[in-house]
Amino acid sequence: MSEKEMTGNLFFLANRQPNSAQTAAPVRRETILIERIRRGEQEAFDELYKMFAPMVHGILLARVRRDEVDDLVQEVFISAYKNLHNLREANAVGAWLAMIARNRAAEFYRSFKPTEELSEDLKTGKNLKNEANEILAAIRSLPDAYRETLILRLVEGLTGNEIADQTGLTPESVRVNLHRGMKMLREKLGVKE
Amino acid sequence: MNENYLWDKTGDDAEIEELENALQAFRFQKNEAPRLPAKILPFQAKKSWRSFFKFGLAFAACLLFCIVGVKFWSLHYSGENLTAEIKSSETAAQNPVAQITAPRAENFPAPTVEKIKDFPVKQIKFSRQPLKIKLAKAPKTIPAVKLKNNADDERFAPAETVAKLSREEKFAYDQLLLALSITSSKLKIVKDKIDNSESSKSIQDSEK
Repeated sequence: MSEKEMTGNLFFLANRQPNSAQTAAPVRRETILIERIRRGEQEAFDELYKMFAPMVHGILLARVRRDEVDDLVQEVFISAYKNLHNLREANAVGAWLAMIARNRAAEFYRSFKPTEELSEDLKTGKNLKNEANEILAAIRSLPDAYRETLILRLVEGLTGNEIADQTGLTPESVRVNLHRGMKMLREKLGVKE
Repeated sequence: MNENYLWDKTGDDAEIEELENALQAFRFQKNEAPRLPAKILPFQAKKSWRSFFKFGLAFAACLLFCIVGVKFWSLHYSGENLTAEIKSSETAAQNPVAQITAPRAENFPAPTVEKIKDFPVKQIKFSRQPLKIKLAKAPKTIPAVKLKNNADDERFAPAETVAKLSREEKFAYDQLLLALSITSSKLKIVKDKIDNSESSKSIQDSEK
């Protein structure tokens, strides 16, 4: 073997990174925040709230009365802080928060009938167009998977990747939910029009 | 409908944009996060019983392994194992099939188990010169090998020569003779079987 070949091989080996460095998963921001929250840092909790509050708000909006959503968002995060010891995987805090939000919405939904929601919205007298209410009602009438994904996309303004990242769903599932949900929504709105 | 716009807002889609504008009123309004309790205590995760169970299981496995290892070591290196070997050698020597000629064994009485335990262990030093067995007077504690003596066989050393071996050498010598006797008995059995089969075959051929 010539000196050139030996030098080339040595250079190749020196530039190669160890497998652990190549395959090591980067530490997510949520993991660091969870650790800081466990130590009692309010700033970390504020940042976590800022990251996931739109997602929690969208999930609750798909299920409960609009005027109750803001209070329930606060309750969800307080409940999450109290039960932080149940969170096994810090990377999955988004999916965990989504689960808490759905459970909280289910508890709230048992005490209120769906017909009361629309009447309450009309009675509030706020500056809300009937068209928006009708669209929201149409989205709420869709199946759970489509309803939730469409509200996160159309109301909260999250992209498909953001929805998948925060809720724990796969991008393919989110794409299918968006496509089929949009198709069904267009049919409902088209029938009314 | 523009699928790309629906996915990541790339491109244009008037229908979806109209829906977004209409539903914007319901969007989450940024507000402050709820305040954590004033007296913030350091978070202590509950000790899971699973970790304790795993530790206990590992400790029990190590303990069991140590017990099995000690038991195995005690059985392998204790005097019980040596006693078992002596007993097996005595039963093998009583086999009437063994017909190995050996030197006279009347000078080596059968040992007792208690004396075997006092058997001293000496280091064997090897030299470059060919091994010359110095025959010495054998002690009384050497186990006896009841074998048939064949004085006409010139292969075996006289009794006086064997009597001059040390205790360890005599024991090794007896063990070797025992092994040879067992091997020869087995070979004789095989030989007899072969002879019988050949004879029966020859008889069958002659009858035909």
